[in-house]
Amino acid sequence: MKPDSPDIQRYLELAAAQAGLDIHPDYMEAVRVYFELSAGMAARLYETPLDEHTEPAPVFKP
Amino acid sequence: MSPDQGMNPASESSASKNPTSESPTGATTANWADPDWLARHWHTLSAAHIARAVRDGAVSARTVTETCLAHIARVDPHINAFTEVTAERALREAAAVDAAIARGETPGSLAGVPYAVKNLFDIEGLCTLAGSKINRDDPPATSDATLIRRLQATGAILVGALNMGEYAYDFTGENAHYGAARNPHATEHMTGGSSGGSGAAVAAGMVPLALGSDTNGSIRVPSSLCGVFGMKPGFGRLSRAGTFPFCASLDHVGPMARTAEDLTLAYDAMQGEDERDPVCVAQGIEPGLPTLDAGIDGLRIASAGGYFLKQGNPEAGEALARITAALGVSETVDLPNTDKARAAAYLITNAESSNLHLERLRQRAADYDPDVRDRMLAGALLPAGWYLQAQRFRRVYRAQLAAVFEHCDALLAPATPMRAPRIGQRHMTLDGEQMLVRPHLGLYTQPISFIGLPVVVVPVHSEGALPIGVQIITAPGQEATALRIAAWLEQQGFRAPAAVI
Repeated sequence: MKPDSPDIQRYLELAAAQAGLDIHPDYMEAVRVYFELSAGMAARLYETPLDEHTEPAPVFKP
Repeated sequence: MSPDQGMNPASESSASKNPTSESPTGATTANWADPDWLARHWHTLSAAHIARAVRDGAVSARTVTETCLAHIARVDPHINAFTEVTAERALREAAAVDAAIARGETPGSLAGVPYAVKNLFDIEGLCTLAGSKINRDDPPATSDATLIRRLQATGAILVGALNMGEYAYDFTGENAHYGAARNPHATEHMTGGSSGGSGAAVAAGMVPLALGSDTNGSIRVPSSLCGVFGMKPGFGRLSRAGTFPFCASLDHVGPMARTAEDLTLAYDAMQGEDERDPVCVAQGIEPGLPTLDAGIDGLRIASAGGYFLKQGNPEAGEALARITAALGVSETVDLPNTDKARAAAYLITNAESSNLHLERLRQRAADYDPDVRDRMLAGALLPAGWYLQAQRFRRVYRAQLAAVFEHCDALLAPATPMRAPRIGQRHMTLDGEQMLVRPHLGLYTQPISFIGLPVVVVPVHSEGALPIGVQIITAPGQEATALRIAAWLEQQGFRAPAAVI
């Protein structure tokens, strides 16, 4: 899903319903702006392929 | 090198080890027994000075506490740093310190030193607001946060809870429910956040010491914009038990102060594992005080290049250049993938905080600060793959920076891309690109906390301008090195004078 995808609005509505979130229409534009910001961050992150042995770090020890 | 002082600095050198021979304000003698002297010089006194005077019997903890409370009553209406002043408790704690001294007991390292905490720390008997309206409906905390108990054990006096950005999801210091904390160096400007009240209370000289939390930069950004020293220890070094969580993978807590010595005294007092925080595990207590005055000889220090030289306004680069010049640093190290580290930190924060708040978002969305609510609603809808990619990338970036630290002991980087914006400013232009202030003011801090490295922010003041800070970043477990460099820079003139309100 690219940041400027026209499908984002539809995705947000479906995902919100699945999550039990009744997002007020007045909030939706700002929610979309922030989601697109996150989508841009994710796109940047995916530029670096990860080795399949790289595990997540949910409880991280530096 | 002797940097110019700030816009409204008290002409102090709070690094002075002996305030009785030459007071921080230039007077020839300190007169702790004189309440007028104490009131006039309160904003210039460091925690170390106060503790020495209390231990020596030059002043009582009660007199110190009363002076501090009077100063807060006079100054805070202009700053809005405090959401609660715990005067009754403070006087009770001060009486306990004085009684211990009267019994001949040795008081702690912070005997009689007033401090305050960001209002996401549990304070027994108070509601833990975490900057929100919603949490006002919660019952009062039944016990103090671990770090408050540890500071109390050293004789420190808790004087109140401090304003913050709602649920810590903020880099501005603004708050829709309690009003913005105001930058003491120019009150129409932001403090930075989310520990904005902590930065403001210290910079205004109301308290010499405050605690904050830092998930992506929430200690370091207000330290930079308010011109004080701030410390984000390594991940898991200080216990978060009894604090309202924001993002479990990234949450840190730490001190803010006007001197490196005070920062170190607080850091040393708060160390130790805590079974109530799953990431605060045994790594040994490694105090910073023994090596604080060791200087910088033998240390390999480099400046962070690449990402950290882009996007910032000129003042960020100028502050970094002044610090590197003072330290004699000539090497610049490019840290690969830092833009991706920042992106990953953003996604982890967005996903974890939203998940934490999901039930509140379902039930009480209208009671949030709109900027926090909309960002969290978006975060609740992120695809799982984005989050997992970000968590996996932490290991990659950690390994890359571990390789850098094989060749150097500390890295220097700007703390913020600009000086404090005006309160209410929503957009900023960096490197020709317009962007929102709230999510982007921490773009230099976010990649570092992403992998939990220790950082100390050193303030850089300039004549006629607001302060800005520089990060001293060290390898895991090397907090003492960052403090040592900060102390050396302070001796060269990089000080944190309190603003005169």
